[in-house]
Amino acid sequence: MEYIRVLALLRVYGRQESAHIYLMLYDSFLMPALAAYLGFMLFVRDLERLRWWVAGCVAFGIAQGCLIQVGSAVLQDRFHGRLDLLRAAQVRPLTYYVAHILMTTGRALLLVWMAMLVLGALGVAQLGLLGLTIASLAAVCAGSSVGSLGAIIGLRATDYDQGNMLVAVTAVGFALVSPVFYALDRLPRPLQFVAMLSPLTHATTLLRTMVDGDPVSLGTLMLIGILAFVYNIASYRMLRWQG
Amino acid sequence: MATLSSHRLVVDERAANVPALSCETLSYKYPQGTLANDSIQLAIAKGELFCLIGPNGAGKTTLVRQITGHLRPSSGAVFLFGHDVNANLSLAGSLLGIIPQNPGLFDMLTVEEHLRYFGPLRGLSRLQTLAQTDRIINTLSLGPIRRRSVHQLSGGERRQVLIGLALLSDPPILVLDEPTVGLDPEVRRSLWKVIDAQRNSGKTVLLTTHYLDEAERLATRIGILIEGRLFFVGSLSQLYAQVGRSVCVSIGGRDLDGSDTKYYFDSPDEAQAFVMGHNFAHYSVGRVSLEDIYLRLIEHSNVKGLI
Repeated sequence: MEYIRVLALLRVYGRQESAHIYLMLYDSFLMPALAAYLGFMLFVRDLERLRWWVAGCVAFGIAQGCLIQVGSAVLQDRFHGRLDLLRAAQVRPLTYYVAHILMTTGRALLLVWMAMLVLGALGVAQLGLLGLTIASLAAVCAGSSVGSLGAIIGLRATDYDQGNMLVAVTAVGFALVSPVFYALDRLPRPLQFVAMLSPLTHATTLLRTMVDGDPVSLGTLMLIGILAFVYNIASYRMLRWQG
Repeated sequence: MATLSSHRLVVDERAANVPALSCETLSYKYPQGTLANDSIQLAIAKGELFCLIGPNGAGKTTLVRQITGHLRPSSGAVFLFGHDVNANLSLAGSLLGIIPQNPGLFDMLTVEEHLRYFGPLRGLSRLQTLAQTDRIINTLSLGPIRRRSVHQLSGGERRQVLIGLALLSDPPILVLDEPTVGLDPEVRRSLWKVIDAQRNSGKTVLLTTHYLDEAERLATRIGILIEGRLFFVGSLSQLYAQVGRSVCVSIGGRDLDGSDTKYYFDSPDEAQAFVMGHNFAHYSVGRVSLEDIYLRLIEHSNVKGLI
């Protein structure tokens, strides 16, 4: 029966978010699209490398959209009294957490599908059903990991403004540390280690491999899954209903 | 005893003598060592409207959070119809309708959407949710604003929506933590009617408030909580009977700040003799009010056994 409560919460947040749809479009789609277009026109200018560049922009969109979405929602719930309302309505912590993560993975999926649609329309890359499924799995794992990071910030922030600032800075920092716009070996060695802990790094690698038409490494997919699991468990453990 | 059947409460005959809500030697100590509540002993009968009053920081909200199961007591226990809240949080959830202090609503959702979306969260089926939504909208007269977004509502209307959400699953006990704080007198009075109607319909209500007129108007019994201890539990008449010096003489504008100075006497004769012995330009003699008693308690809260 708990899934009915998750669906009800999804309706609540979906309806609440729909009023700010322009922000969602900006964070998740317009900004990555702009990055893709400007980056391509200014630096890449090589249609062969467009696939590589778009995959990075998808990861950038996931970092921006998913982290900001969950982080802001949790901050608003905590500091605008909505968490008290949900607690009073006997919403369980797991229900609450799952609803937020589902919202954010939905956004990550949309982003990947749109990018694949654009690449397909341009004739630059064609993914089969299996390819699209694997890309979707990678997006779900990366989106939920990044979302969980947003939840951690939302739950740890001492006030609303500080939390919002941290969410914005972390979203950019996370995208920069994960080599979404450049190759991993371009990063300084200590940062390469940090980048390996980011699911975005592996999601980007996986997407690039796929759009290039190379065989996908199952190990990479498993690694993204394991990282997503660890990130989400760590985040969920911070969610305490009863003091 | 109370049992749950398909999310509905079934109270059998034996529940007649069991308090709807009781606290036994309930204490809460913050991790820093501050004692927020100290051995609270309380029993609220079914159908009662119990008002908990006390100054800021007295521990009212801490007590409410313990009762609702949102805060695990350091010692002692809370029982709802004889069931330990902390042993069965989900049962507590279905028995209680809660308005926490300063809750927020979802700005973009309409009044009706709030009720419709929160129904499943409270364990109602789709049909039950629709029926309850209509019932609550009628009961609380929310019809004219049912399709309005929350951000378009006034403070009083928002509180009514919150009461509606607390009533969604038709719980037998309502816990309202300062539901009228910050509202203008007219709106407060309209909410009093709503709360009173819930009591009249057989619900048990625990209400915390700063407003003593609210307690005088609504409560069947009151509890006075000061520094985490319950100084008094009983009806207003019991309070007046126990307090002694129940006649109050107010002398206008004698304080430095221009407010009335009050003197308390055991009998009207004693008060009259006091007034006659002085040459006061403005004074009034009357029965001591709850506010007077409350202020005297606050002033002497370190004196044990004042009441």
